[in-house]
Amino acid sequence: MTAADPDRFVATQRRLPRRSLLRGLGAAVGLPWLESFLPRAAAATAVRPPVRLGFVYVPNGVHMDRWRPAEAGPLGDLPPTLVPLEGVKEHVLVLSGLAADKARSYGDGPGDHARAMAAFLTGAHPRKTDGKNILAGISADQVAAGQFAEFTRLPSLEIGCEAGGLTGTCDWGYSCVYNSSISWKSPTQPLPHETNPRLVFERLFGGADGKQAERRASRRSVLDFIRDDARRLAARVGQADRLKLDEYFTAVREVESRLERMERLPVPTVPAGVLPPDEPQELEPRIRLLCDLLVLAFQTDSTRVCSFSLANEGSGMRYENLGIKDGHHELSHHGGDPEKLAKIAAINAFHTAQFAYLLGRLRDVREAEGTLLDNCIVAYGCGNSDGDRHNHDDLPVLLGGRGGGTVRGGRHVHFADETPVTDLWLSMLQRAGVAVDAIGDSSGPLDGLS
Amino acid sequence: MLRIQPVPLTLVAAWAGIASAGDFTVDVAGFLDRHCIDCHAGSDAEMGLTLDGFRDEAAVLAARPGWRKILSRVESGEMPPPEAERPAAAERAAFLAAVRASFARADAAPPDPGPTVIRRLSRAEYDNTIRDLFQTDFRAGAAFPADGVGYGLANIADVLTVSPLLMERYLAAAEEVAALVLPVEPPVPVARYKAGKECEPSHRSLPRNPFRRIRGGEENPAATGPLNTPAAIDAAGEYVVRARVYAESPDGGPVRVALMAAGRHMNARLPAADLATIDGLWTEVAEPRAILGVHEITARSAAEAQTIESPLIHTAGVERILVGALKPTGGAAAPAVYVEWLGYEATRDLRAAPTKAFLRADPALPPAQRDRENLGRLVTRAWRRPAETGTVDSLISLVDDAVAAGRSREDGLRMAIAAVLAAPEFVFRIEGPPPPESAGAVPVPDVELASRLSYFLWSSCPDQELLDLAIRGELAANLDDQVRRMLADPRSAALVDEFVMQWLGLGRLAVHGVDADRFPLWQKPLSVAMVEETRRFVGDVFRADGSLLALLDADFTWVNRGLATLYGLEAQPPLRQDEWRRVTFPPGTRSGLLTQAAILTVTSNPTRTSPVKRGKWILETLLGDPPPTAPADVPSIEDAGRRPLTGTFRQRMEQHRADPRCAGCHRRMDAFGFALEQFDPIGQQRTQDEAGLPIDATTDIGGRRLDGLVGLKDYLLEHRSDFIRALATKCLIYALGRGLEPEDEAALAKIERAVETSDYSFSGLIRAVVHSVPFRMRRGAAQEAAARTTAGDTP
Repeated sequence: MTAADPDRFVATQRRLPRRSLLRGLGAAVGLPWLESFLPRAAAATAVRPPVRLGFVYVPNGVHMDRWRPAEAGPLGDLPPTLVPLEGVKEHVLVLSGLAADKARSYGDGPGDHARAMAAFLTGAHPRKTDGKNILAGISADQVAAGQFAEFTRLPSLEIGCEAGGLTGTCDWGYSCVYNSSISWKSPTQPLPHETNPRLVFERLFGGADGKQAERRASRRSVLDFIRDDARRLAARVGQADRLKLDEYFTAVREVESRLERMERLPVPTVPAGVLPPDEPQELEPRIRLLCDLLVLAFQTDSTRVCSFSLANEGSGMRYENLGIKDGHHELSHHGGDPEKLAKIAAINAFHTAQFAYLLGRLRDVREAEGTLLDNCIVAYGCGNSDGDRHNHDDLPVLLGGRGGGTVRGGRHVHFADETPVTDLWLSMLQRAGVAVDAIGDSSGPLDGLS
Repeated sequence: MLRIQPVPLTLVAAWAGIASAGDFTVDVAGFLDRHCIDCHAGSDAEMGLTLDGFRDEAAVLAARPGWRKILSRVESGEMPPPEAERPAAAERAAFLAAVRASFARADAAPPDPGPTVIRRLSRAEYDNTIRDLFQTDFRAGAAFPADGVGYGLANIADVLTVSPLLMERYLAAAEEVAALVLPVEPPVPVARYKAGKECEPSHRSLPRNPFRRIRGGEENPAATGPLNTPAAIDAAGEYVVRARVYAESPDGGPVRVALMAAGRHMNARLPAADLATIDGLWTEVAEPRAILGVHEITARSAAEAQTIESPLIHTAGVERILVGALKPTGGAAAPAVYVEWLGYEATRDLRAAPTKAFLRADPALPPAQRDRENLGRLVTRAWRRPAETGTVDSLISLVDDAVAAGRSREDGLRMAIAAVLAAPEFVFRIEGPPPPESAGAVPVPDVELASRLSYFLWSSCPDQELLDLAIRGELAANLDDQVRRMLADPRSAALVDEFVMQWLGLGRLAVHGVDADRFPLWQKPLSVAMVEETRRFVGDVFRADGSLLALLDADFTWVNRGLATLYGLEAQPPLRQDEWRRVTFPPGTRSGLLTQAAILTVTSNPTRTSPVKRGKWILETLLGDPPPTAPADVPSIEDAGRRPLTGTFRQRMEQHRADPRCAGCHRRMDAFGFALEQFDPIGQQRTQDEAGLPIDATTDIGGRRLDGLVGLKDYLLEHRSDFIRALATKCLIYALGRGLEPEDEAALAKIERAVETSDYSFSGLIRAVVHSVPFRMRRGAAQEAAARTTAGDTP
């Protein structure tokens, strides 16, 4: 058995303790979308469920030879890295030819990892800086979140497996925020992602204990005080400081509008003991727990947008669950070494297996006439193609879900070289009903997804 | 060693700051034309360094940090390179002197403190501030999203943003702290009182009268006392034992009553002689007793009954409390003592520390005034400046509104506390604008200086003493005393835990991987111990106020068992589990930070050493001379194994490095790393590399041969000014929370000189940073306006 044999890695998967409980939870909170909030008569008439958008990021590129299907058209025998998707392949599009042009150096020298992550969803060239005046662009998920905000308790959810911000410059003159942030609320505000499943859970479903109203009132008093305070403060601070404070008060307003939404959109009651008592330390159970929470968030219409970083760009994570001792980033500079390439392919297959799991879970949830997956579009990909070359064209990208009938899966679609990957985001957002004409360097919506 | 060059007379004039522009053109631009721009110009410039743009002094000053490097290379003779035509000694000296004269002129200009930034508290600062405000170890920061990092540091204003997620966490944390301060269910006061008639020894019939009589000389213990009752005191603390009594004295003599404690395992035992003074049969029960106090009873009727009390401090082993009469003296008749009740109560304040820290106002004050005083004090401490009346008014009306809405006053106070802790004045360190009429730099007001100081030295808020001093306007005048006091305070450990650990980049060790099959000593506890070693070592140098150079050349460190094994030390006496010990290495085997396991490991790959990473770490961290970034099309030198290379790892690297695109930078970078090749990827000493081939740790830096660790150490000590500059740069960035600007160069040069004159002491560095212009001053209004117009490119 070679290191690249995907079966070997499937065999070592461990099951998450209490998985069945969490699955059960789906049933407990799984208000079929909207129905519980509508009068019965209204529920009976078909209301189209909303399209939810997911963005899953994997770092360090992939071993493209084992990723790319030989031909465009219907997906037949899957290439080795995509084999884990076999069970859901009718819901999956393999997209070739897309590029993240803004991740290229443009005279800024090395730093492809930082740029790849920050440019992937923004289509903007990140400013090279170690800390001063961080700048990229608004990411596609946040464009959608901005328009969906009023419908759900959370405008968006950002989750990931690796915390950002380890001390140290992360990539050649780029602050660590670039290679740990896929979601950008504004060109100057990268959004941190939550790595702790328990905190994700609490954010989604916490506080459903009968004292919500009292707590909301308390919090509103606190926020009122803070807002009044803002006026006093404005007189005392200089212009540059005001920019920083704006960010704070924008966050305050977000929290306020979330409070308002919570009144209209109550937190579903969630049975106790849903989460495992201890946060799983092992990678795969953690990923799957986060996937479950993502599914739950979509299912309960707690949010309609989620970004999920399986690891930060340039990650040196070691996949010891696969029996691989070297760091991912080091391996990605394989230099053609077959042993390293085999390990890279194994890591790639591990990641696609997690994506397959996510799609499978979405498909397990009934919604309206079909499944939750029917009403999702979940993209999966990386801003680097080959981790050794750091090239930003021919990116590995997958698309899962039917997008409310607007996406037809089971195919490999090859776009013209250098098609901006932002065109895909644009197409996704438009299918979800987001009014948007352009995202970063996009040139227009893609043909061939339907 | 610095080489002293003959200095022509014209340049002596230049040093004095009176050089003319002509010197610059001739000595600097001319030198560059003749010796540098052949290689360093255009898009394919060597090491990406272009020098053809430096035609005048302003251009040089704007790129001053880079020019320091240029000076250092030219001065050491590394540049122009050996193979090029060498400039004459006098020409070189003129070049160096002209550039330095420019620097000196710039430094003599009126001070410019650079931009002032508004700083959000980092996670560590948030936790420390809550700890110091409320005397509680509350770790909210762990639930906050990770802080951004800039310049390798976690307290850089520009990357510390506030996302909606963080805002939610701030609110939740503020509410949690408020609930700690005023618990919804306050601790139940420990107290127990027993009616006299229910005390032991029990008797047949209970009197109707609430007072129970005891009198010596009767025939059974129930009638003679002493009366007693169990005292279930399980918490050590301060208690008081009380009884309410009156007495009858047959002959009018004094009546004395003792309060006592008893218990089989009680520590404080009563001497037998004293025991004999207590009247009553029950006394004879063999149980150790202690007399807590003896009281003279003057009350002679139930109406005038008096409460007597005695402290009970040493509670260990106490099971019962007792009240009994003393035997009459001189043959007098036994008195009758009437006991209404006997009991005890905790006098120690059982409220939690956060509660006490908040509720400091006199409880006798009317509630409104009390709340005003408590909230006012909290605002002052938490916002680190005197509370404004308007702020306290708003908080009080918040409380009143809550009460009007049917909530309890405590609920309202909890909201007010949460509001203080979620407010921008708490989560940001906000400094006011400069006086509107100010032109040049102005000193930072004392109150703002106090926060700059406390967050620099303690990563926390000013304590009461510092804040009071600042509010009185006496901080600037007592700055050195305060710095001394603060450095002696345990909170200054934050300088090591935060600043030094971030400077060294050891955070990465927590996620660093090592192939444990090849390096079986590598385990999680060892990696934790590695960081702890460095923390203890630096902390040791810091507390002893030792020389910063010890960080490079100390022959001692701290080890636990795991590290002793790693370092091959035989500890005598053997180390106990969890013991840490300071140890000294044999000469030449280890040297300060250079050979500490944490650093050697974090700069290695999981399966082998990485001379490139080690070299880069030394250049960046210790010499402040980060290698330039590689051209985009050049693969990483370590991983581009496309051609079959042979020999030791080092030989293979050298073959690869023959690629001219790589050679320029890697020659220097790798050289430093090769000097540490006798240490494996987890810091053990070794004589063979991963492939079993002998180690060659000799290396060549700028044409100079270095032999392994000792050679490297000597090199670094000779280049101590670069080391100090690198450390001072990081330290100033840390203190200011922003990257340095060209105008900070003057301050940096001053700090460097101050460190040298303080014998490189740790405190010398800290003092110099505290006294630097950018730390103590801010731009005047006119300066600020001018900076805004020139910096058109910043968003």
